[in-house]
Amino acid sequence: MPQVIEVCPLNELKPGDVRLVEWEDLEIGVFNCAGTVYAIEDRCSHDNGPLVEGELNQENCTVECPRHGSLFDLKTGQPKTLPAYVPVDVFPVIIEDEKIKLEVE
Amino acid sequence: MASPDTTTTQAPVLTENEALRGINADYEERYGFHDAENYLYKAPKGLNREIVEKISEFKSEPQWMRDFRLKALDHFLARPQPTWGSPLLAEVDYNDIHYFVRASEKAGRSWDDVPEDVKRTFDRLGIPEAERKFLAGVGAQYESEVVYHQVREDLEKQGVIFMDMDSGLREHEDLVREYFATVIPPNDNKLAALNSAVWSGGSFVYVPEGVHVEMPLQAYFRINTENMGQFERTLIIAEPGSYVHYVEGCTAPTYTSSSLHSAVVELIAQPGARIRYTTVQNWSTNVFNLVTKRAVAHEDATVEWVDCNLGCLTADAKVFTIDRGPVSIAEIREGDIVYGTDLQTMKPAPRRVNATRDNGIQPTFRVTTANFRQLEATGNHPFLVLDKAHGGDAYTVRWRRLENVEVGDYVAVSKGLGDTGSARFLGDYRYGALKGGRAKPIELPLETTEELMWLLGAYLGDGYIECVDGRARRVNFAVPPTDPARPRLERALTTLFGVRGVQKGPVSLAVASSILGDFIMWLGFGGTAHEKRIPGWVWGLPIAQKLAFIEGYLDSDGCERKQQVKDGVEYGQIVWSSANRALLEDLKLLLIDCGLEPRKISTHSFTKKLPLGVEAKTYTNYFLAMNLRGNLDVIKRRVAPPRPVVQFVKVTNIEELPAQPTYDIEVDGIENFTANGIVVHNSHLTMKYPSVYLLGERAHGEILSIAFAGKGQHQDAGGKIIHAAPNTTSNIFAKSISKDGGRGSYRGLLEIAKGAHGARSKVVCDALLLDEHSRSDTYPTIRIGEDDVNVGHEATVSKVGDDQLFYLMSHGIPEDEASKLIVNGFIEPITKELPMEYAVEMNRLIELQMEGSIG
Repeated sequence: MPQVIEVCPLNELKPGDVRLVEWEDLEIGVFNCAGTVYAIEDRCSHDNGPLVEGELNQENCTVECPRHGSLFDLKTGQPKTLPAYVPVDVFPVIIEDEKIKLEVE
Repeated sequence: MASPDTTTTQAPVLTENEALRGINADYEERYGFHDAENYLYKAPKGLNREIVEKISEFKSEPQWMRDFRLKALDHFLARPQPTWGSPLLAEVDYNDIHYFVRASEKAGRSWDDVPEDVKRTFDRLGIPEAERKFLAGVGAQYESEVVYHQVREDLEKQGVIFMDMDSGLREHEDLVREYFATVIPPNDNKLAALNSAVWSGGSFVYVPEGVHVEMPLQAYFRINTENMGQFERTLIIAEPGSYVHYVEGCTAPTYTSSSLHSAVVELIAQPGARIRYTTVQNWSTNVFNLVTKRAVAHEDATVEWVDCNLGCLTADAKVFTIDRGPVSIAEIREGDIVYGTDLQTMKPAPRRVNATRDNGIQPTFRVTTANFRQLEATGNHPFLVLDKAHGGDAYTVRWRRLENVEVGDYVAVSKGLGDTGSARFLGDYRYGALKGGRAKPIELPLETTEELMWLLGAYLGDGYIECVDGRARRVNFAVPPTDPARPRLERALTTLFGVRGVQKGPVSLAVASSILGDFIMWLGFGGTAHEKRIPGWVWGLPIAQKLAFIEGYLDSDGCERKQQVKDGVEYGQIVWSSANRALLEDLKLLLIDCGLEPRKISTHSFTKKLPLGVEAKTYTNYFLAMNLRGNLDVIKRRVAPPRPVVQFVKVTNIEELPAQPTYDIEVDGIENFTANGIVVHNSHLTMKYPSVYLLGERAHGEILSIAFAGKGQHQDAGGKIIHAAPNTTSNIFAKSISKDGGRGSYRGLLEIAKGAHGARSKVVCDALLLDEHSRSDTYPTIRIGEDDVNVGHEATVSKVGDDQLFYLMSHGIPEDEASKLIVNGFIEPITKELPMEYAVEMNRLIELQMEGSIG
């Protein structure tokens, strides 16, 4: 059953900002990439690296895993470089009443 | 880098030397040369931001590449050294390496543009010949940059790009930017980060859609500057439906000390493309070869790694010296037999010197241990120490650089070196000094005996030769008639030589025999009291004869100071005194060699005033002392010396010395040698695991590898295949051959990811051990995330057994041939996959490795 959770007011996550959200046993990274908000699972599919601690590239909307350098596309969750080759989960982002909300299940 | 100091030699096996002669001749001739270093720019040792910026500046790189390098440097500095794999990894000293050397201004396009000395190097490597063989292109890496490069015109017309990576970045920046570091990101591992920060040279290959490059592309690599890291970066992109075979061959001159080779190789096979990458590596033993190679294969693409790792064709002996005794390390020659420590048994073992190095003038330290062993070495020389791991009480044995050794640490010292000597043949002595044959003939012993050695020891202590007109006339022993040793001396002279002495003055026994005097000098005992030394051949004798020699010296010139007797045991000291310090140092080493425990050599100076009170003369005497208990018994009764063992003794002092010339040697099999009775190390290691990521459906990956671990080498190789898409297939065939104490390890990973339905894989690793001392390990890892897959794993270990050899020999094949046949059969599945000229070279290399392996 999909469920909608509230993250924070939109003006609290400025372009370039990152925030970690926990829901049940899931950790989700919420990224504001040049004005668009994306949410991906905060766990590199290669070696469980914490992606919210990685470097966000706002030009290409990618984040680099701090552990071994795999680059993930925030829109699709697909790795753009090895060593990761399995995509990470992405979560639909809803902006409602100037608030950031995520659809999780 | 031990200082010019003494190391013990021992009688060797002659047949082995003869067999090894063949190996050497060829390698020296073909690869063991090096040109005088002649560079336009050579960065100082060590790595920092400034050097990385300098490299980028030199190459006039775009800003993004400069940023990429600096970011990689941060990753490199932040990451710890990997702890898995070989313990030798801990020895890589990143601060002792030149990260950038530039040989000449520009890549020469035609052969005529290449500088003369560079050309000579290539001539000897046979590169122009390779070109004549219509190879598709020749790229030769000389130091960090490619100086000569040519691609056949028809390939250029097809749109194939084959150039050095630096030019690739300049001329095809968009392509490079799109693919560079997408397979191996800079933060993948510490060595990839290092390469990303300082990379230079390497190849850039781009094959357009549908193009088949029929001839293999080829590049040779060489390391020429001492302590120079080589960090080439290779990127191969095969567009859909294309095919390319890239061949990399490596050699390095034998003299390089601890060169670090750390390449990054990225292959990208687009849908339906096929890339084959072949490596024939033949590093000399002192190269650390830590390489990251990775490929991706998209739908229906194929990637094959063919990887042949040969090591240790170092400069072997040309001259075999027997019985040289302790020789300054500066004078140690290839082929000498020295002692090392077998770390499995912790016992000393005789080892052959493979190569020697002059490491130039460097600051050094003098280490003194609680049992008075002393050694001078550079700060980065590894010593074997006992280490209390993790703050616990358990000790582990590990190598540590001298600069990290502290007073109070325990270092390994060898206690005796085993009894492997034999009596020396003396029948080839001829007396020819005297005109007219007037010398009185005497009896002469045909080989050394305990009695003869006792007599020579007594001569060393108290004997001298009187010369008349430059030739020996009389041999005198200053052993008075009251001395307990006198009757024994007279008896020995009669039994051995059939001569009698006469009393001369109150003290001396004189033997008037020119021949005896000449014989003693022929044995190496000539010279005045200040010049006498213990000749080297004495070290090659059986222990009982060495002990008899020590006893003779003790009886004539030593003194036993008994201080007390308690419970029937005598306590006290044995003391030798002499004005000749070098002689006492020889004696000390001989005592250690026999398993005895000498203490330090002390000095006593005094000034004697002559009667008039105006002249004063200073005399210096040296003393060598040893505890009576436990030692005297060994000398007098020649009781079996303690079993040779390595023991750990506390370091009592480390003292900084001025810079002085330093040397190092490399020995067979066990990577260490004993200098002044302290165990030290030499090293060399290859770690390499090419990998293929099968990302598209029906992609195929193949890894064929041969590792030949010879004397003193650790070849840690293997492969990694990741099945990340359905119906992908792969094979890994890994073969390792270990010989002369070499160690071959297979480390492999096969992973079938979730979703890779219908994947099929076969892993076969075979090891062949050529003798008892060699070792093979297999570390296979298989992770499977789907049910409907087919995975096979086989591993075999075989030894070249007597029955196999016997079978072949019973068919009339000589033993060495039979042995080669077995090895050739073993690797044949892989050599048949090599291009012809490499297969020929490979067979030749294997043959060279094999010579002398039996017997």
